[in-house]
Amino acid sequence: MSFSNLIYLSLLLALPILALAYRHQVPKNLKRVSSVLIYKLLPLKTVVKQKIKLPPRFWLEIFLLSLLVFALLGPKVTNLQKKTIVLLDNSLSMSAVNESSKTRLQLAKDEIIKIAPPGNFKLCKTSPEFECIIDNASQSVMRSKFAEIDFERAPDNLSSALSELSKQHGVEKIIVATDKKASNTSATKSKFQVLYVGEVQKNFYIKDILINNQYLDILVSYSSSPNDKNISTKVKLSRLPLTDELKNEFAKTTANMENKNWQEVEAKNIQINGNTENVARFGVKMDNAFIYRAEISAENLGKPVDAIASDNIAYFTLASLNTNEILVVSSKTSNNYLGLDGLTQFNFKIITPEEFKNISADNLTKKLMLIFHQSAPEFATRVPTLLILPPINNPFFPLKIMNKGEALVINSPKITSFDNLHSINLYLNFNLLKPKNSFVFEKPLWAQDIIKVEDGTLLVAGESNGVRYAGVGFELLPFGGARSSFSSVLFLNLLNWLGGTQAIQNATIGDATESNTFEVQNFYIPDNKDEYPMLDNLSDEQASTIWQYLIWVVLLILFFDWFWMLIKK
Amino acid sequence: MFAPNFYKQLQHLKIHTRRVFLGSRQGGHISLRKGHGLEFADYKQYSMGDDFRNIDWGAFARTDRIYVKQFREEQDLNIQFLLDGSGSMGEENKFEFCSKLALALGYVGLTDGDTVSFSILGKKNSPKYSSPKLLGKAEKFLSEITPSGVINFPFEIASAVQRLRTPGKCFVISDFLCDFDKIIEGIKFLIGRNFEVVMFQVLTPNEFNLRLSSDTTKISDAETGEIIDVAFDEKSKREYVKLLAEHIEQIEKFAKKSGVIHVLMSTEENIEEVVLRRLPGLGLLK
Repeated sequence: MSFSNLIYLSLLLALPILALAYRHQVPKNLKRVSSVLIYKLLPLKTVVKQKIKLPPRFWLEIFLLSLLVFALLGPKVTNLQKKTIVLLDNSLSMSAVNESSKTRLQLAKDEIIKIAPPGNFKLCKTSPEFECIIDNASQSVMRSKFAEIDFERAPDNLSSALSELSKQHGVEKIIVATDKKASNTSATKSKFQVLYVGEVQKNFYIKDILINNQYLDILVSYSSSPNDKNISTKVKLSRLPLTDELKNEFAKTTANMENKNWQEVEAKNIQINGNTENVARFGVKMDNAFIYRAEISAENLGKPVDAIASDNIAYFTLASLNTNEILVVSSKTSNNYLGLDGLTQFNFKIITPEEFKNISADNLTKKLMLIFHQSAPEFATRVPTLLILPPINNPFFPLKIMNKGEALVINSPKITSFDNLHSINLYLNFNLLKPKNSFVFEKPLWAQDIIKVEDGTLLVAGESNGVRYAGVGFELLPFGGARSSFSSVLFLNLLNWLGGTQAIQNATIGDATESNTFEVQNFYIPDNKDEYPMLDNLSDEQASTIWQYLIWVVLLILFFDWFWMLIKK
Repeated sequence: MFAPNFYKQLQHLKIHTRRVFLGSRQGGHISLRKGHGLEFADYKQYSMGDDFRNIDWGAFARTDRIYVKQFREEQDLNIQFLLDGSGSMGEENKFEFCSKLALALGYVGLTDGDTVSFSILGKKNSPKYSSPKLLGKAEKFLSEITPSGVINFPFEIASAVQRLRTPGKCFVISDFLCDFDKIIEGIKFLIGRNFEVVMFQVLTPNEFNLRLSSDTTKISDAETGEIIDVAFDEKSKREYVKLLAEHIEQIEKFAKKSGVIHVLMSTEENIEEVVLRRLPGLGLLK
């Protein structure tokens, strides 16, 4: 048994104090007698030998206090009914067919049945959003539910799913079936069994579609070996008038889109090297009245060179595409002040916090990311968000507070550690970091300390439900470029890191694992079952809520005890 | 204070003395004084002024001398109650018990024509009462007393007796829980003043058996206020009972040796039972 709040152990100091108080307070039982004449004649030893006799109330209070301390310690009890959690990656990449003509998803389902231990199961999937379908079900139920899980034309939320699952208790183990590198990013101790299905396969696909005022960019990617030869790719853009009927159908499914009478708008040929990507730029002004279809095709590309055929076609409308706009919310709306006009490769839009309140949630999701400068949204956004010097009670990273309820301000914080593997810290020389009047954060469970100082976390970042968030406790703006090298590099790193996840999220196709990571991914090959990479173990103990009730019961009894004493007096 | 029936029963009793005392007025006890009476005392040769009626004519016929018969005069008995008025007597109605005992015996004396007076040692003395009708006053006198403080036992006895010109019967009522030497000194003073002394030692049941709870860690002296630490176990309780018995035995031995009657009683005892049964049994009442 372990305890959550060992600090309350210090309350045990009250026990000897209580004993001393009682010893001191218990009135000497004084009796008046006619004369002490005879008593004085009693042998001395019987007079001296006094037993410390404490009243039953004292023992009751000692017992209650011990019980209170025990309950406050938050004992964790082992959950005897352990279950196995199965996390199935059903992103589009799992539709890749291998040489045995089975999709990765099917392979995963087959292998899970083979290796699943007896007992109860919780079945979860990663796409289109992390979701658990069944809980505490038998293996046969899980098997029947497998049939309902098919791959989705959506990216996986593997890391956020792992982060969520790592917070579960009473878990025998978590079996993760995926075709990607699964890593436990959070600092929990979950017992993961990662089942890698399928080999890395070459895939040719539309990675992203981006628009700006003049152009439509179709980003084509070829995941393969760098040594693969160039391929010539034809990118064809077609469109159809967007009727209400079509609009509704598009909102539901794209299954029958191929049968429509598409009118070709333009076609382009581009060259792509192995393991690179290229953009096909169309000088087309997007129109809300049309639905568009992009198709890529290359000669001599078939299995296993193009593992997934369905990601070679994309359907989109102007409304369904995201802009690459970065919304900056700051009371200082002057671009000169914030220095963001120098960053021409980004499309910044600066608004005030008041203006931000008027933006609808739908419009927000189309933004590449949000930057809050000395402000914060009232509610958590579902868009990558950077908070610079946020207020105390922001919805992501609450600040460390002083006794008076104000944020703890540190004049010149000393860096104690930083995560040198994190991409936010790339190219940074920490000797140059001399922030003044900084705030430190209370790190939430889902986030990581990127830069730590003596009093807490100066820079915190994390991914929750597939969206990245970062909080900076010192001033990063105005963007000074070379004049303020540390803050400039850090700012760009933050934009890069926050935008990275967005790029993946925007993709409408599966992303097969790149071949250059083939060696380190330790793929599980179904015929060779000796490789089950294990991550850390999660404590299978769980704090029970019963102790909270116990605390109230004990406090109630102590109150009655005190009340009774008062009446008695 | 008592039931009417008890008063009636008391009227039939008489305080008995082993010795003969001089009285101050006519009463029910044979006196040392020779004069009119029923009990023949002696002969004496007739002298001028003797009552002719007392001439023993038979003796004159045999001896040819005139003898006159002398009789013991019946006079009252001087009864003195000395009640301990120290603080220790205030514990557990001890003084109340002693007052009742003194009043019951006083009523016996008064109905027999004796002179009764009460002295509260360390406090005050009552006037002499010579009629049963004055019992109410005696009762009022005693009820006004609140035992308190420390007394010097022999000194207070001497002070109380000093005012008495004639000796008589003296009842000393106390718990006698004080220094044995002082008890002796006080009683010896009374004996020296020719009193017939009766010691009533009254103790409470708690004092007899040490019925203090075992969690009593301190006790205070009712008279001096002195506090001592104690811890009672069964052994110390037995030791206490033994020491108290030794103290009482010392007093008893002294009483026996000095011709003093020592009566030990508990406040638990019934006064009526004590006066009507126990004391007559001891020869103190007839």
